[in-house]
Amino acid sequence: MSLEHVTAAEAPAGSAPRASVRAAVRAVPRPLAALLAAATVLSIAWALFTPALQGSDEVGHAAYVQHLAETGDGPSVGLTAGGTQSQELESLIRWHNLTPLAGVDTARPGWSDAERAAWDRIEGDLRRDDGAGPNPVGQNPPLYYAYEAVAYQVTSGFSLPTRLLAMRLANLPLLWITIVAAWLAIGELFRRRPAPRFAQTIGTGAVALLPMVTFMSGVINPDTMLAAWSTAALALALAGLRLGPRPAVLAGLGALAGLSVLTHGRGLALVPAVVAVGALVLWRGRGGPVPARARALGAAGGLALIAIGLLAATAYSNAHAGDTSFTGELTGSSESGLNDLGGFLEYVWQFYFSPMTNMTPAPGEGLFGYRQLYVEQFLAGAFASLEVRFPDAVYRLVQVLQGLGLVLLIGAVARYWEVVRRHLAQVFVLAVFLVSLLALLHLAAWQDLNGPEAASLLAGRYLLPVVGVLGATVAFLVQVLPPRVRAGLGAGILALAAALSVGGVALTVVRFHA
Amino acid sequence: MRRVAIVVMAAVLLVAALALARLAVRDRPALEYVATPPPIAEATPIELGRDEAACQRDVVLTPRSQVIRVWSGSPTPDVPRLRVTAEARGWSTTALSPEHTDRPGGGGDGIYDTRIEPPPREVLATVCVASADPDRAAILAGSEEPRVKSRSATRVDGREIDARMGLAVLTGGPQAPLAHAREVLERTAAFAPAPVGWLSLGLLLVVVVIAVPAAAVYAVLRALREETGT
Repeated sequence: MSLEHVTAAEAPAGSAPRASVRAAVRAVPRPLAALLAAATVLSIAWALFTPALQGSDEVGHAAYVQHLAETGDGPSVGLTAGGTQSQELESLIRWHNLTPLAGVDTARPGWSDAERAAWDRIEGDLRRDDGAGPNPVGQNPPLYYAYEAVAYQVTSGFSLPTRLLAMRLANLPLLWITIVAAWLAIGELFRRRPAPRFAQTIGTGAVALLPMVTFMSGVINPDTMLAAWSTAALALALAGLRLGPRPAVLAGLGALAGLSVLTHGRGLALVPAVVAVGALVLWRGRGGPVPARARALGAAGGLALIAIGLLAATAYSNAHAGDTSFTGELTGSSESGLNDLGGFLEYVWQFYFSPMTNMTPAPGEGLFGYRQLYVEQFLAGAFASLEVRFPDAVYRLVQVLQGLGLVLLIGAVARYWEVVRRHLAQVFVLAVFLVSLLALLHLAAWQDLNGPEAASLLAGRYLLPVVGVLGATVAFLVQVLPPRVRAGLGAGILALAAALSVGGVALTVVRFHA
Repeated sequence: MRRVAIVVMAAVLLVAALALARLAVRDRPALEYVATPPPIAEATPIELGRDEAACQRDVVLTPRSQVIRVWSGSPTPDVPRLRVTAEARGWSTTALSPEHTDRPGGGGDGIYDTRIEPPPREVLATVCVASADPDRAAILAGSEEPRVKSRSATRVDGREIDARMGLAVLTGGPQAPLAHAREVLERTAAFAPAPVGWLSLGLLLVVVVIAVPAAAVYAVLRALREETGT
């Protein structure tokens, strides 16, 4: 008897949930399923091929999770009776030879049997709960670390390398949220239902296969959670334009902004974006089918959730970082960057363009600008502690391609201005997400440049929260081009992203282990 | 449209495959262990006078170890030879750096590559470096940069000094990653939890190299088919 002949009455107990799971899996569009599978493989590969604690600032993040999981409280930024890391973490760093490894490409991790045996001999006797600080990321709000602490606790009976790997793999659901949210966000851009599948696939593929997205999901770092909340908020914001100011939309946006703030200081960027989008949705929906009372309830709920997130994050950070407070890891300086607005504007100009006559050079070495942030560290990628890099020719190629893409985008906007005009609300949402994050990042960087060390705290991974905007832009570009060009460009983008991702993993293997 | 997409993807992936192949067969220094990396941005010279030796503990040496590399901090290529001693429980060896200091690895080019007799088993050894010329001090490249600090402090005559002497162990001349692929994977798995081993990592690498581009190709072609029905 074939499966088709089994009726509901004859089906064994438990087959209904299985059938619904199968139906749900079948409902996932095939291109999206393929992209999710590829991203999952890459994330697992990054988690396994990147030596322990070699992601960006991963020692601090892992130490935070461990202390939170072991004691119920996070570490502090300032001096305590404990250490920067626990005795257990410190010993792993010692015997795995990890201290000189971060960012130093002439160093190698320990891989000998003698070192492993030395670690195995002592590991059971080491304290896990004495990493109270000073931890340089101790001022970060606790949401991501609490999430990671679950993976830590589930594997608490295993060795530290197992727990560290479990924490890395725990990022997978966050990666999936980012990719699915990007798919939904891009779907919302198009009025056609279903959305044009090719553009949606290429746009989502630009997110799922962007090397930095999967790399960051393979290490312990809150940026992956920030990307998930922000991309989900983008999808909900675009859906909100269609659905109107329903309470679920407004409260959902507020909840995502609150979660974002509770994840990291840079999550603050989502607050003005969400407030602006909420205001737009309310304005568009005035006099619409959603009753005024429901609109007010939704708006109040959203604002309350943001306020709760802000208050909780600030209270936590102040308690763990003293007066360096909530913005501690957002910027390393307490100087106010807004005292010199003219200087700030000149700095931003010089970040993107050559200086104009009479412009004062920005403080610092001036070596970090558009190419380093957008091309090298975001679009192409720089891995581990930024020292695993592609050959310069690859960055030059990506720079040329993204330059051509920008020209193409400007041309497409001009050529299809009527279409763009009809979608101004969507354009506004994408722009407000992008501008909000860039404004925050540049302000923080300017503040640091004016600090005592004149060092800029900017990295390509900070742009991950707007990876959905990148995907949407790519989708728009692909959609408006003539069919043959569209097919070639879209296929080229995804092939290049896949090639860069595989190349990044291979470079990592060679850098650390060959 | 489908044909255009296939041609473009094939071209991009072919170039990527060639680049990957080049990475796999290009020679790299056969590093077996790096006790302390060489200075990154700022070197601190470590001067070793008569009867003085700079030592590091817990240096991994295996039966495959052939060369101990340290870096010269001398401002001139005219450098003395070095005496390198390695000791572990029940084993020790002494060797002199190359006789011709003006040849590669002789110290005149900034690198001392001293060939040693490897231990019969894997050991955590103490490695000491001294000038082999009683009349001339050796100047080695060290660094006080926090980023080079490993578990092995540098001691001169038993006293710990601020600077760390760059010290690495090599198994011989340069070799390509592909030539010792299994060893590369075993190193990756060294501190990984079971059941992660060289075989599972090798399979994962194959999956990454094949399945990720394949998934991208599938997604593109499937999306084209769903959209155009071709």
